[in-house]
Amino acid sequence: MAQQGTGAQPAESGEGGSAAAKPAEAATTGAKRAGKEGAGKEGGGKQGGDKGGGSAAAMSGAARMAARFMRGTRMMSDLRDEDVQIATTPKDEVWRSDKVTLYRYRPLTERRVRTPLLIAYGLIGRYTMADLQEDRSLVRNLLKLGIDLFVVDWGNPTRADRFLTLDDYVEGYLGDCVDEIRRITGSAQVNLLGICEGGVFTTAYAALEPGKVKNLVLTITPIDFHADQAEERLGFGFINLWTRSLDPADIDRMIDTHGSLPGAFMGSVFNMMTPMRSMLKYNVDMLDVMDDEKKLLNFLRMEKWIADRPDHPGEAAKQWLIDLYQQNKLVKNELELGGRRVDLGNVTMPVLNVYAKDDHIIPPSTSRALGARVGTQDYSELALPGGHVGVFVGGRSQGLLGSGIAEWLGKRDA
Amino acid sequence: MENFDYGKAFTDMWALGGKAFMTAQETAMRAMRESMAAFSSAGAMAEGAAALPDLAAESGELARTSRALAELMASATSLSAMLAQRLPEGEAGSSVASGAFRRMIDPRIWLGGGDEMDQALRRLAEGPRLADLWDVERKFLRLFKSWLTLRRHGMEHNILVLEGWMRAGRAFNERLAALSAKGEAPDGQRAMLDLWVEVANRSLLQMQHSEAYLKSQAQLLKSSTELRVVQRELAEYYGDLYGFPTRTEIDDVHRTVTELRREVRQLRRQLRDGGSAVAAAPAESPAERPAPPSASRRAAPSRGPKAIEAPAAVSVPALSEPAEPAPAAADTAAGGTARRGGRAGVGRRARKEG
Repeated sequence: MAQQGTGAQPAESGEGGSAAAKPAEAATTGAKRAGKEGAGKEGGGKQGGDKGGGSAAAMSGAARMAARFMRGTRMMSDLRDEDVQIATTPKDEVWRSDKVTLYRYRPLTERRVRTPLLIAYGLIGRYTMADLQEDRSLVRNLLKLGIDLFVVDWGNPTRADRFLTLDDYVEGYLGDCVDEIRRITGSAQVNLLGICEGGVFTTAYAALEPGKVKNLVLTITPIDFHADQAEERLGFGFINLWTRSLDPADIDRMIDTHGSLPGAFMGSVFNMMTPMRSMLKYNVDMLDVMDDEKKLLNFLRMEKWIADRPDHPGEAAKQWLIDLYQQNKLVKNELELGGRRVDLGNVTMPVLNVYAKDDHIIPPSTSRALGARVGTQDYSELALPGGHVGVFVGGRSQGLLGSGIAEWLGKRDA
Repeated sequence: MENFDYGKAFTDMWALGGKAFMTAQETAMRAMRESMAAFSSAGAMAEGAAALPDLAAESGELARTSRALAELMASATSLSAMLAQRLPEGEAGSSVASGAFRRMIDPRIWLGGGDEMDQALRRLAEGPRLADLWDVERKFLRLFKSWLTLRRHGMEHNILVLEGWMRAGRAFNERLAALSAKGEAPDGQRAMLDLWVEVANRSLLQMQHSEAYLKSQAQLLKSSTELRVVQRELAEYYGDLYGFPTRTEIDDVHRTVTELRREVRQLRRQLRDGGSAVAAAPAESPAERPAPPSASRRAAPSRGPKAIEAPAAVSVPALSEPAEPAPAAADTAAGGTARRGGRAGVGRRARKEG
């Protein structure tokens, strides 16, 4: 459910992670940072004593503020939507079925890991988060480390896709992508990298088709959807709690009525998790970055990604909310796809489970539950700083995620 | 006029106007129901009036909820005025912080800015308005009842939200007093904003995790869905009447298309698995094998997970083979492409991106 909860300049400062990380304090981060800047740059705060001096400082602060505002306004008026680009790493479409497209990224260096890697995002949000901008891109980092990289784009499902199920996505489209990569590359197996809901897809696929998966990498992936109850941090796991509070019949009816789980609806659920964020985002936070072109573009790129919220196909959304969030079938080995039971014990390939220490959307405990249930001895965890989105675009984890994955895969490529 | 003055004026107007509106609505509903009952008992509508929605009761509930919300709004406005007085006087360069603070303690914002999901629900439920038609009375009455129920649940939810903001305001006031007593009061408008955001955020999260809030929101979700369902029934009635395709019919088509596509994908897979494509790159185990029933009997890791340290830089030795597929594999791929070119409507296109 990678979406939302990001600060004004997540890609620059990694605040997307930290803001999302501690919801109880979330919205203060940007304001405090800005407050410190404000005190320095604007002569904010009481200077005490000399009234004349204070007045001069006040005038000077006001002038600086006005100049900053003017610069920012000019920059905003000069920018066009096409100036704000995301997911720019060159890639080629290699396969397509219905609305699903498989891309292969062009190599940036010689290949160092033999087995190709397929990135699978979920149906909430878009894969473009893994390639937000050139200097904050998991995709580029992996390519630079010699990974042969593919990504599956689920497209933009509409109401016409309301009857697609998780079975279709896992056994159908994802399975077809894996087979296509095997065919294109000649590799008997592929490495899978699942992100959030995409991690559930890849886990389920790996359990159903272990012979085709060389290594499984998961990032910010929920496995035990009820493990949030062990978290004692305020605001962590709200989606889990909120979903459990609903009557399954009401979820069914809502999705039947709308034909999907609307992206805008999920967006508002995410916004609820950081209730003060939206109130600061477009005034205080934005003002802090609007006279710095680089920061402003970072901010706008993140906005672009957030705004791109596809609707979640209806039947698959029911399975996601009822079978998984409410009934927790995955961790109980009760989830059935295509008539086959998803048994986590069948995940016999090496597993790297990456989680964000301060992920309030997918609390670490919900991810780490996998360790006790997989059928492999080669299970590793990589804990990274930041929150749900920050782990991909934040400065603190930027150098760690790609290299951590590449090194782990390199050691298991024989 | 200050923000809170606006708020106060708004509340007063709302309270008076709302009261008049609700009274009129109650009366109208009662009259409508009585007319319908009379209409029914006269034999014009054989299927009893008992089936008619009880609009008078529903609108009465709505009026009571509206009054409660208006009273709470008045209290919130007072609290807002008190909080506004706490803001330090003018400070250069802090107009944004000051503006943000004033905006965020305005009760209108508390209802409008803090209930994003509820707004989204309402947007989703917005649809056709009542028309002055009387030939489908029950459908319209059901629609109106659903609308009234949604409004009532919306207001009940707003009461909870407003109470949450007021708790945040009181907590902020107490925190400020405590800091002032220690001589550590925020010394500027920006610092004041920081404190407010921190306190309010915590308070709102606590509210969102409360059983009452979750229950109320579930109720709101349910009633917004119900309104949508009833709207659709009405729309489909007219669609059917005038020969337009209905949502139900279109959904039927979509279901059929999805099922057909699913079958096509399965057939393609069977064709592919029977061909040479998979043979060129065999998996380590059969592709379509069933899950081993005894998989849960695997040896569970006897130790905890390996916690790996992410390296600052990785030096993985380069492979000797080129990055692109080996010729044999590429040939196979080409063959596969040729075979797949025959798929209906699906072509494997090499399109450049990025």
